[in-house]
Amino acid sequence: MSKESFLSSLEKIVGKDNILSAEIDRVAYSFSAYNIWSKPDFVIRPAYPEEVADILVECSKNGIPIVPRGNGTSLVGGPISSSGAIMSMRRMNSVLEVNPDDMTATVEAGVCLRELLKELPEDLFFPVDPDGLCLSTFGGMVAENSASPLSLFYGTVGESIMGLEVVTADGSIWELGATIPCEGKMEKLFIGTEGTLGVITKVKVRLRRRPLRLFGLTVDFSHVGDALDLYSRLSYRGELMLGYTIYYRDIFEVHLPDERLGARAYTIIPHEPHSLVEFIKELSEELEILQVDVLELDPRILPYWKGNTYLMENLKTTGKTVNFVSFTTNSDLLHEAVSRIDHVGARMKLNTVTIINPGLNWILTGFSYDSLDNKSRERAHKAVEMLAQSLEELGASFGYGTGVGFNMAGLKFKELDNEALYKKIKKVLDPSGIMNPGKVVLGD
Amino acid sequence: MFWVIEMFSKELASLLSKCISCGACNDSCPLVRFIDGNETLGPRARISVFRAIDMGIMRISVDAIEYLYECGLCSLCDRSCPLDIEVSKLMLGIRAELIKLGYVPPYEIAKMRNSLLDIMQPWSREHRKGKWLPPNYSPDKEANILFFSGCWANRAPEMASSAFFIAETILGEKVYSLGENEPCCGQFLRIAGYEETYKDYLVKLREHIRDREIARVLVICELCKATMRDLGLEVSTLLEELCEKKLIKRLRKRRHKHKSRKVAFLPTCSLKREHASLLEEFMKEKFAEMPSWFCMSCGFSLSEISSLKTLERMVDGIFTALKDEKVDLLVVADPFSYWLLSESRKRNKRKVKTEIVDLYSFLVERIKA
Ligand SMILES: Cc1cc2nc3c(=O)[nH]c(=O)nc-3n(C[C@H](O)[C@H](O)[C@H](O)COP(=O)(O)OP(=O)(O)OC[C@H]3O[C@@H](n4cnc5c(N)ncnc54)[C@H](O)[C@@H]3O)c2cc1C
Ligand code: SF4
Ligand code: SF4
Repeated sequence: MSKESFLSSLEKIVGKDNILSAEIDRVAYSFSAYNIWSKPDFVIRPAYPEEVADILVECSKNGIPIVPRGNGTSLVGGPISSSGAIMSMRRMNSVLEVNPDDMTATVEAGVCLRELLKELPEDLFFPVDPDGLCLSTFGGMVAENSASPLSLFYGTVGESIMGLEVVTADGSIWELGATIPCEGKMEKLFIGTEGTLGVITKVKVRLRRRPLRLFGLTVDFSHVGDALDLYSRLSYRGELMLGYTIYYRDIFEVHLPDERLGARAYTIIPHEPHSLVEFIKELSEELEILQVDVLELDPRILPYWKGNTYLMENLKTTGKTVNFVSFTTNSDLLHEAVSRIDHVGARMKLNTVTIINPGLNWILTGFSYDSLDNKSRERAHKAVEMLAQSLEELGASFGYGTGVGFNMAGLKFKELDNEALYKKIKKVLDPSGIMNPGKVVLGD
Repeated sequence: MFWVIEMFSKELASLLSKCISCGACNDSCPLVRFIDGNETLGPRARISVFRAIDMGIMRISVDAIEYLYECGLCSLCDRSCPLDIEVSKLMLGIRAELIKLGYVPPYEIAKMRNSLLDIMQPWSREHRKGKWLPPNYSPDKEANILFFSGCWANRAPEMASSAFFIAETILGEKVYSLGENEPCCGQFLRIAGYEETYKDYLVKLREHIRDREIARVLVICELCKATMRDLGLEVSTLLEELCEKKLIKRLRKRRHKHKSRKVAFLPTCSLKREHASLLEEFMKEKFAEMPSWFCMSCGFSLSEISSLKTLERMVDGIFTALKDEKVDLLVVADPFSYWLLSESRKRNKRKVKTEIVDLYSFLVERIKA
């Protein structure tokens, strides 16, 4: 089929105005956050699951790759495509139901967190805000199984999912989650698989009761090891923490130039902090603690992500951008992982921004570079490759919260059983391989 | 890997590269909001497109230039950027740099520039000014407060005459108008990116309006206000004057039978919330909260001049929002916005139930001198 007749068959599904193939549109939809770039052939904007189904059938028949796009906030180039189509989900943006008694909400997949929060009663909230600006869509968050600091207590997005509506490449529309009376809930297949198995069109989420009081504790350390150690001691003590995040070194590069500051831990607790502060102060003899600060937070303003402020300050002052890697590893290897990040950063002469969530065994790190300088851009790319290889030896698993996206596509790793099984499932659900090709499995 | 071809100055290129494409700005853009959430129309995409041009990923084209002039420079997006990037200034900077590089803005804008240089008016002589003044009006020789009506209000004469009436009635000082000799303020040149031409125009304008010592200038349009400031004159909008000096209280209200109706108010960008509250207090009307309200003054008037289709679509979106919010009456403070909305309503004989009135006629209707 010629390109023209293929596009005209899609026009019949969504209408002419919702197929965008002009150069400007293709470029407009070619960037995702942190300027990872690749230009699609065209963009299609469905408004109903039935339209999504018809599009997938057409694309499958013609072998046209299709990449769903939520709000394009992926850190790793998730919603971009070098050929075929971007399917923008932003026309599917209705909050369908909020049920305060049941503490659930049902939204179309293109609704972003901000849009849901506006509709919620004051005492309810949704606990994961991956980008810290409430911009991610529910489709994107489910596809990435996003995490954010409060995931320590509330879990990743996947743990707040009650049901999904998904469309697979053969055009079937599946309502998953609500009715299967067994443990093996099928919606799990679509959580964290980066939109490679189907397009998510509807999401039912569990809401949480807003804490009545909240306190933020900032603890500054000379060494990151001590910040990791403090987490172990607090969890051993049974401390109730909603989040515990460590911001490491270079993230404060310009705006907090205190030579001694090696790492800052930020924990959020839902109760009076007095005894906790005393406990931390008592540890000062063993850990090199520089300072402890406590602030009562307004529970109406969600302290989703303190790190976002640090990161934004960093970017604002340096004018640089960042190439990210997200991974998990065993808790006893976190310190070693941080050393490896330092090593690669030093070798490639790049600063790093590193955020560690010890309770989740999760590290989000990035190499900052000057995007106007091709050499520095190349070095950052190389640094990601080097780090990934070095971390593989540590048994790290990549893409926690963020997916592996386009950014790490092409890196070769040893195939594990998980990946082998995933590939089999993918073959069944998407035999023509059109759904978000190249994502999820490194080296695929 | 792509090549950085450095089309723009280092300063612009580094601002473009500073954007991390997070999309926080998109939400506030009226083009995205009132059209249909299409990414292309928003600030994030505008940065991406011009960054792509700077990087050599995309070529500059007639479409890209038109796209550049679609942005209304309303600066709503600037307020939501976590990196404090001012997209509106960036778009303006790109316009200016492209002009310096020899690129020509959309045809109608280029034509307007020539007309300004030629006759100090943006449109042909047929659009005669001052038609709203009383017949045989001649300015009081003693008056030293210039009422500068602006080009758009001359296309909406009811607005200009109501505003002039209020100014004459309540200031207690003598106000005069240049009538048909009023030139264009020339702000179009600045927002179109003709930086040098604008500077030259200011010199010409100063000559033209200084036939006497001007103590102060009263305007009703934000574009005129910006120019008068650039000329170093003391300037305020009539609405600011009414509110800040509490002159509004000098207006005596005519007894008015209140229908129960929903009234919305479309302010200009310099209008503060307190001003709207003062107006509400005076009118005994509670203005309806509108989602993402904005003044369409500056840049969108260039979209109108160059007949860009996106503006029409945005106006459709605004009418839909008014309908959804069940607004009976829309009071508009900015002359261009008033002209555009009332003309679109008339022209398309839309089934829009919302009545549209300019702020000054709305006030005049209810006061007795
Ligand atoms: C400043 C900043 C900080 C961030 N920090 C974090 C963090 O700490 N933790 C974290 O997890 N993420 C983080 N992110 C990344 C991002 O917010 C998440 O990955 C988010 O889930 C992406 O949502 P989105 O709607 O923007 O999806 P997109 O970026 O548009 O897409 C993400 C992926 O999901 C797929 N997808 C989108 N919609 C659908 C759908 N309906 N059906 C199937 N597949 C779909 C896309 O194909 C793509 O692979 C951060 C982003 C920013 C800008
Ligand atoms: S200045 Fe206004 S019109 Fe232009 S991109 Fe920003 S919000 Fe949109
Ligand atoms: S909010 Fe700022 S950084 Fe984010 S996309 Fe818009 S201009 Fe870029």
